[in-house]
Amino acid sequence: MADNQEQQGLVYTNRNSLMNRLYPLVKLAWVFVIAIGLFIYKSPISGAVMFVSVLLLAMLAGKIPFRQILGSSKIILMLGILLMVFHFFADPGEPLLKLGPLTITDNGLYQGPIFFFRLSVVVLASFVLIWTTDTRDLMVSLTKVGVPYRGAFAVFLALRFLPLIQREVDAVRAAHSIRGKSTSSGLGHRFKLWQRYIFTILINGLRKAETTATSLECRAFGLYPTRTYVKDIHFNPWDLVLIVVTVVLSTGLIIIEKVI
Amino acid sequence: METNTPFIKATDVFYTHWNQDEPTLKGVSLEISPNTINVLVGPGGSGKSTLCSLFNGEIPHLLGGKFEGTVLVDGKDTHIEPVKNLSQQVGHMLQDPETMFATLYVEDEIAFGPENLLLETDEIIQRTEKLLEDIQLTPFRQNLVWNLSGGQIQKLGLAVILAMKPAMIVLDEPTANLDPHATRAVHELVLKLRDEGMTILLVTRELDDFILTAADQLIVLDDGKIMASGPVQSVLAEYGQDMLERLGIWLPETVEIGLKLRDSLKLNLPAIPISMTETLQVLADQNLLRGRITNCEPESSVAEITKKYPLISGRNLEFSYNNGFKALNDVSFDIFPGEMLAIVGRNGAGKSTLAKLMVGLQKPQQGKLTLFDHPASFWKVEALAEHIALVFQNPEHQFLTDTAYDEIAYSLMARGIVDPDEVRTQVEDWMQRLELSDFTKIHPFALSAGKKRRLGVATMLVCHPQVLLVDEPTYGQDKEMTQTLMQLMEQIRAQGVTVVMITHDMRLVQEFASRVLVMAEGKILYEGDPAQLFASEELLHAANLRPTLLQELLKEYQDRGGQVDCLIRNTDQFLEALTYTLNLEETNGG
Amino acid sequence: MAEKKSGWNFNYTTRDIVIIAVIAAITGVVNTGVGNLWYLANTSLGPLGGALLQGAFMWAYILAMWLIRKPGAALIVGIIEAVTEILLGNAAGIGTLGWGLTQGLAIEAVMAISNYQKFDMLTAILAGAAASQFGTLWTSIFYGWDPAYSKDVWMAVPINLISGAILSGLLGYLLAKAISRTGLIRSAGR
Repeated sequence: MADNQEQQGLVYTNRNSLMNRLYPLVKLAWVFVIAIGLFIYKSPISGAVMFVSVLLLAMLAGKIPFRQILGSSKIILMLGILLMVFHFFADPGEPLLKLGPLTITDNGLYQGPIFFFRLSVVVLASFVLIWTTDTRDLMVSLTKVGVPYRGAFAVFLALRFLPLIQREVDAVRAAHSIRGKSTSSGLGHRFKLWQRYIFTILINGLRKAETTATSLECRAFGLYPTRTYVKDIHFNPWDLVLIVVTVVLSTGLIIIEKVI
Repeated sequence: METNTPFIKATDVFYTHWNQDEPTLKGVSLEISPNTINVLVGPGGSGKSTLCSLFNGEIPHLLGGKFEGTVLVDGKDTHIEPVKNLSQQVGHMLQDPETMFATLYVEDEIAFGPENLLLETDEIIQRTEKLLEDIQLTPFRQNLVWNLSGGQIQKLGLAVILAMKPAMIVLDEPTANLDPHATRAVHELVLKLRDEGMTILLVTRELDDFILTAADQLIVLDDGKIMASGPVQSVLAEYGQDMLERLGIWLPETVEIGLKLRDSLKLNLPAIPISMTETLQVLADQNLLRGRITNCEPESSVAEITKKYPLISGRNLEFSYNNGFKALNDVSFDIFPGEMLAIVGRNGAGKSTLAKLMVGLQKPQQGKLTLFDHPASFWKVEALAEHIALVFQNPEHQFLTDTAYDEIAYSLMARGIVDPDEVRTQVEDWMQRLELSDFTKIHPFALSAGKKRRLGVATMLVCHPQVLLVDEPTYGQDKEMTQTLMQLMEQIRAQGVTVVMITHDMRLVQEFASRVLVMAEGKILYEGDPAQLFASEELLHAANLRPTLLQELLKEYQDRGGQVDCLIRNTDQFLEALTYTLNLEETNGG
Repeated sequence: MAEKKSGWNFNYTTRDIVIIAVIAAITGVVNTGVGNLWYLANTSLGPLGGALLQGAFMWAYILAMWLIRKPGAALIVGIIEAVTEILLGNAAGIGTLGWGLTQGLAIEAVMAISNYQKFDMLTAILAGAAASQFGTLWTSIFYGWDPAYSKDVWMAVPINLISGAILSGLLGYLLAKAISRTGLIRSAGR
């Protein structure tokens, strides 16, 4: 069934933007800096500021169309809202409104948005990293900071196997449904079918893995502790500006929270 | 054989895989001279792929198992020589080159090996550029490796191996699932490499006239032993009949005709013809290129078939995938009860998508699709499965249980047959019919490729579908297995089941199809009599298909004064018709 | 003929690396699918919402450990699997790494106690249960559940443990056994 060539997940595109040109590790560090900030903020306003700044960065420095951002973030925004609503009710505080057995508290109303922004900004920043970074470059940059190249390659290989696995998942799902209706609908039977489904994908995947491993060794993978990179990437100290600005912004927000 | 020292010299090689008790290679001795094309053939399970791993250090260094005997590569013993040296001297292209790839982009993939060898950047770039040029993938250099066509994947696999600058390459069935044009392209590349000084071992299950003409040595492997090796002509002359009948190896139809002229008609041939020209020459020499062939199948039964009320009928169907790829474009067709319909077209023509629509895995986005008197939207996949069954390319995907026996039992129980005695009788009956009785307790995944395929078919047939859809019957099968499968199809067709096969193997179409549906780029180009498809060069060209050698030969036959009034489906029929015609002439006082 | 070395052996072969990559890719795909359900349950219903499914994410960690039998295998699969999920665009972004790390570390901890010597069903079940509860620690931080005021966090503990024991520990162990029985995968022996 080779006609099917769908692509799933987030796709890296080179739009020749500022974000595209940044050193991959810098972008990775940037996501972590953003994330750390969001776990410290005590005010929803800090989260909102970060939300807007990541959004602006994605659109202006990353040249990512707003429609694409919205398309990919739909689900996460929805989950963020659910989490926010959950906190409205769950967090202890002065009751504001009673809805049957549930109570909305003032503290909940304040806490809710914090977690909305924590979730959505962490995910959005991760999306920006993926949209603007070639995974190959990220892998190469990891080896530059001491990650052994065989280890970094494991990440890369996982990515390389992804489309094969997705094809396999589709094929197995189709094949199983064609075997006709299930012989039982009990929970034990479902567990068995689920196990079977995974098993088929695993056996085929592992068999491929062992062949791939042999073939990689024949292509001198791991022969020397290092290797050449034809498409090398170079670190430009100016790239660190992104980190500096983000750290300043984030600590600024934390200080303002303390002061007010 | 040339007199210079062989590049490969294997002596008394025995090899047992880590997970088996019996050896796969049972005393292989073999010599391969430098700068030659060596073609290796053998039936499924004869040890071809295992043999491919003998030269680059995989055996004995990487694959485990038990290895006896010696293999010398350029005079060096593989027992002693480390993998890093051997693998740079001999490149091994795997049967499924996709499993060799380690990176995301075409050009990175070629550079991967040299990068691991710590070569200079300039040198790597130079090699990459040259190889991209050689395999004609320069425009696709930035493509993701999984977005290539089957032919491009094979070519990239070749480039990946060549990037290591080996002295010899081993190609394991590089054309197994390629359409005829892609196959020819790979073979032409092989020829070019030999002319540049490369030593080549090419494993195949389908010998075509092109590669046979070019080969310097033909090696026949049977049950882990070398049955014959030597110049093509002498191996064919001596063992051709055996290869054809006992080992079930696909030989070019030209060779089949030559062998039959020699053995059945007892004609004295100077050599077995391989190319079309040689065959015509032989026929001309024997004064056989004349007469009017009339005693074969009547021109067509298509009119008879299409009188009936169709089981499946599509009108103006359209289908696009999420990524915008338009797989079906204004497709209309009918499937009639009791026919053997072949859906042909090159890879990516829309055949598989059409199949998915027929079994309900996808619904048409436009147009009207009627399946067994109900619109497509009426059907759930599970319910439809009782009427139409699909035999997958990879039967492993559909296995649900841990033994071959349980697989069939599951299908029966899914149909509501729960009485244990009834289940046992039926399972045993099917096991016997498909020659699987000795394997009831084996894990379906551990069966050989051919048995997996038969088991896959059995799980479908026990459901007594009205239509059986087979995706690529030849995929991963040698001639014998394909024949068995096709005979089974014929059998169930005789019982009234409609068979639809999706294929690009034109010999299968020629031999078995009662009607044919030709697809190209999502459209139906032709629906009807196979004979007319073979007669129309424009149609074949438009669908990117090649006529079979036999049909080409018949055309030449007619161009040279002969006459053919009916459809000839295989070389046996051709020879029969020829003798009949000649006898007729004789009795008429010729 | 199984070539099984266990104990404190950090010598990863190319085969180990590719197997980790493949398992991580498969898990990435499956977990992204299961995850969508879990995220929905967790964000809208809180700690008790996702507890039942909590164990469904780590069977592959166990399987990888059982196939490779080297310290770090579960942790590495955890990290790479998380990266795969992130790349597929799941609903937690880089936060997914938190689960990969905590769940992986929990399994490593259980295995370390056994000196990477014990590969029986009980160890698998313990490792699965531990991974499940450890993962929940990160969930609590990420989603802001405070055990100080939320009873749910405590009530979810036994459900997490059972879910992890069955869906991760037992399933992972059974899969490893089933794969080994086919005799098709060299790393699984026969």
